[in-house]
Amino acid sequence: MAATDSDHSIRLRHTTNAPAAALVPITPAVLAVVMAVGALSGCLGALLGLGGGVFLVPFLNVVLELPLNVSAGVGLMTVIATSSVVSAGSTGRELVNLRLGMLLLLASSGAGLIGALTVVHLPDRALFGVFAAVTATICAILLTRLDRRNVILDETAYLGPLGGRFYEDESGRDVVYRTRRIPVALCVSAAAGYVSGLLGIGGGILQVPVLNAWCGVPLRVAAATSAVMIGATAVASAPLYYARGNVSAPLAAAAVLGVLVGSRAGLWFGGRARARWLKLLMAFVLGAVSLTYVLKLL
Amino acid sequence: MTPERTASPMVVLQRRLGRLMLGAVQVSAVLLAGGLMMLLAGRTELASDWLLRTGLLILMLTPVLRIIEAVLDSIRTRDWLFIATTAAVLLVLTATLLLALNMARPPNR
Repeated sequence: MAATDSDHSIRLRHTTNAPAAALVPITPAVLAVVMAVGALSGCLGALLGLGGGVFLVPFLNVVLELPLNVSAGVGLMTVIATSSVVSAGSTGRELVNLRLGMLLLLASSGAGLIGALTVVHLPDRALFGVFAAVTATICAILLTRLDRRNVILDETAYLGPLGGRFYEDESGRDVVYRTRRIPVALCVSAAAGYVSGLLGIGGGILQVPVLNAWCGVPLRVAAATSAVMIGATAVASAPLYYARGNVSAPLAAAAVLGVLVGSRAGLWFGGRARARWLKLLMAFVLGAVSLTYVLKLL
Repeated sequence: MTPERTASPMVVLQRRLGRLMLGAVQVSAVLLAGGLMMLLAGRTELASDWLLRTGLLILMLTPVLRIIEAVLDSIRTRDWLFIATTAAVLLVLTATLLLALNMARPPNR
């Protein structure tokens, strides 16, 4: 989408620290497309607890050919929006494990800050490689561990300091779970925060599958807890992108408005979809994103 | 349907946080929508820029509200693990904000 001087478009002026994003044509058509993709990203993000960034950032970077730092800046804003809507929408359902979330958030927010500080020193090709590797790894984890429910039907079982209890629609009763391998969860949260700070995709892309596959957390609890965490993790990076002028305000506004609508739709679908299908959908999307970035590297 | 039961203090906290965050997101959405409309109308660039940037700033502050309220509630319930982790998270976010302010400040001549 190259801009020409004859375009009757509004050109966005970025602040002084954003040479890569000096001019981006902002037309009603571009805003409408970004809003529509934001809605789709918000829907998938809310459905899977990932934040919409993992879908929107590749679209902005690959299809609209925006620099990765600008795409990441917009992606972080949509992650915050998805997180806020999903956090509010999942309240009262006892799905969010706030104690576990805050502990893991400590690792992810610190790493997110480091990611946002170091991203300016990394070449685009390295970031594409990180993108491809992270999405392919998670896709593989999901496909090999599709049947992990992690719920304990005996309500009197010992839950440990970070376990929990919730009403599970699939079994029609209260179920409990025990969180295991906390050091693994902390390490993965730190990696997720760093990736979020680098790529603007939200840490949920790593946290949800690992919490579910290795740490004993049911998928719906992992998704709801992750949805709360990814917003705060994104806030550890977003102000730095904003201060550097890497957040295109009109594009971010269009994407956020789309995400707000899409997230609500995702919450509606999420209450009705089966966990196995959610995992398959997540694996398919991550596989497609990984392939896109492998092709960019070739 | 989830059976009716007495909400635990943590669930009450989550509901309160949810309402607070939703309100902030709605204010942000109104400002962003207004800013986009003004931008597309093409006459009041300063006003549209202000609306868009204020909307994004409010959006960025939304998760911080959640952390602040979580800190306060952890103090109320005297849950020391929760107090330590939420306070540390708040410190990280404060550090980010200070770094961003420092970055955005024009260099001294």
